[in-house]
Amino acid sequence: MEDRQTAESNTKVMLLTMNMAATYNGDDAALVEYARLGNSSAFDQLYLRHRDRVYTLCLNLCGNHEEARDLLQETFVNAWRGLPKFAGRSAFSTWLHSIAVNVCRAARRRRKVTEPTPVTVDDNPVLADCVHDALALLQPKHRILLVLRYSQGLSYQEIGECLDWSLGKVKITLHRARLEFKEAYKRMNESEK
Amino acid sequence: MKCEDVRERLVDYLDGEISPEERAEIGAHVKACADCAKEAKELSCAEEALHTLKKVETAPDLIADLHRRLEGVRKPRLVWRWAGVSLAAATAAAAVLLWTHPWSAPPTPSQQPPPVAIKPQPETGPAPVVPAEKEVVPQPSEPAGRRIAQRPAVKTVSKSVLPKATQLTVAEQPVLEATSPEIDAPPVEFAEAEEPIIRDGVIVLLGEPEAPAPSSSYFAEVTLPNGGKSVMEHVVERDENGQPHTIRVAYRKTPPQDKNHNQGG
Repeated sequence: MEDRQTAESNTKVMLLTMNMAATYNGDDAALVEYARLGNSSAFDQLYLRHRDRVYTLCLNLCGNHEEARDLLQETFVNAWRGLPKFAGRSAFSTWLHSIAVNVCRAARRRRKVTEPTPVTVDDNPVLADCVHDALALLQPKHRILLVLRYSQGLSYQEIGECLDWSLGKVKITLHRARLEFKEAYKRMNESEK
Repeated sequence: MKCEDVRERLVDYLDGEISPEERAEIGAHVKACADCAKEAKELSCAEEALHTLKKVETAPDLIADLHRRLEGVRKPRLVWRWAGVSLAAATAAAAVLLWTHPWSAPPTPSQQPPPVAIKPQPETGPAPVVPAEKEVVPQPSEPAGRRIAQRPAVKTVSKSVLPKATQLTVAEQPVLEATSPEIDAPPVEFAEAEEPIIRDGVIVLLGEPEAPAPSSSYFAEVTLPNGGKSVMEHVVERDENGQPHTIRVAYRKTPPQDKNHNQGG
């Protein structure tokens, strides 16, 4: 029992030190380590650092500010839950992207279930321009790829880590996605004329 | 070069991801072929359009909302993770455990689980796990009648072979109230089971440590359909090769929020 009390005391000291350390501008890796041990202020900092990019990703994938806000929060709740699983093999931001993509996919599935008619382009207040309209017409995996590449600026390697795909698969699918987008974009332009 | 071949390579051509020789060849073809030139132009336009995608949109300030959402979520730690991931499954399994008396049937040889001992945690005792061979004692705080009848007696499926030292280690595991997130064991990676494995009514495994430890123990708090809570502890004892030789599940049920709901017996 004495050992346990000593261990608890040591842990408290360690966590206090972490709290102090986490207030400095450490890199993601350090913050992630603190957050993994339950340091919520470290996690707050990670949230502040990455929320804009995650929000943009969600917005580009779902096309709706209100839903994007919800998906952003869900992404970080899932990240908090999943932190013990995060092994650091990829960058934290890449890992977050993969969570956000999964959250958006799940939201899309839910929407399909709950809504009798599929969401059309016109229902989306944000996807007003041709690009977003065209994106909305694509296969989900193609849309995700294009958003990760062009909006989020992820490299092929990072996309592969995010989706757990090989580099070859990323390249081939991205190629197809661009061709599909070209056709959709063309149709959108023609329909606007 | 045929039009088909050129169009297949147009994306790479626009990306500049082809050899200079191929580039020159495709370039020459595009200049001479109106259809391929049109295709190249469309691709190029689409590419430019994609570059107009929003790069960074400022997210609204939602940190307070995030904190609210995280209130119900335990800090990332071993106990929390297990409970979080498997909560639904554990709830369902707990319902099976507490309402259907599944362990009244003896295990058949084909269903023989790993050595398992189940014991409800005595409310007065600090440790949720007791030696496997002991007889079941209902929780003293629980009302007599229906609830006791509902909760099956502890059944020792097989004899525990825990060494004394290991038992002491297990006994030091805090009960739920003592599992302050700030005083937690280092995170241990667990491979999660998607569904709880139930053998003879016993939750055998809900997750396995990926890095086998000599002894691992974790808790889950599950909400039962009647609003009551059940705190379950899962202990895995391993041999030198990392193979589990004893797995025990202990639980303690706490009364539901709505007492009327549960006092019918």
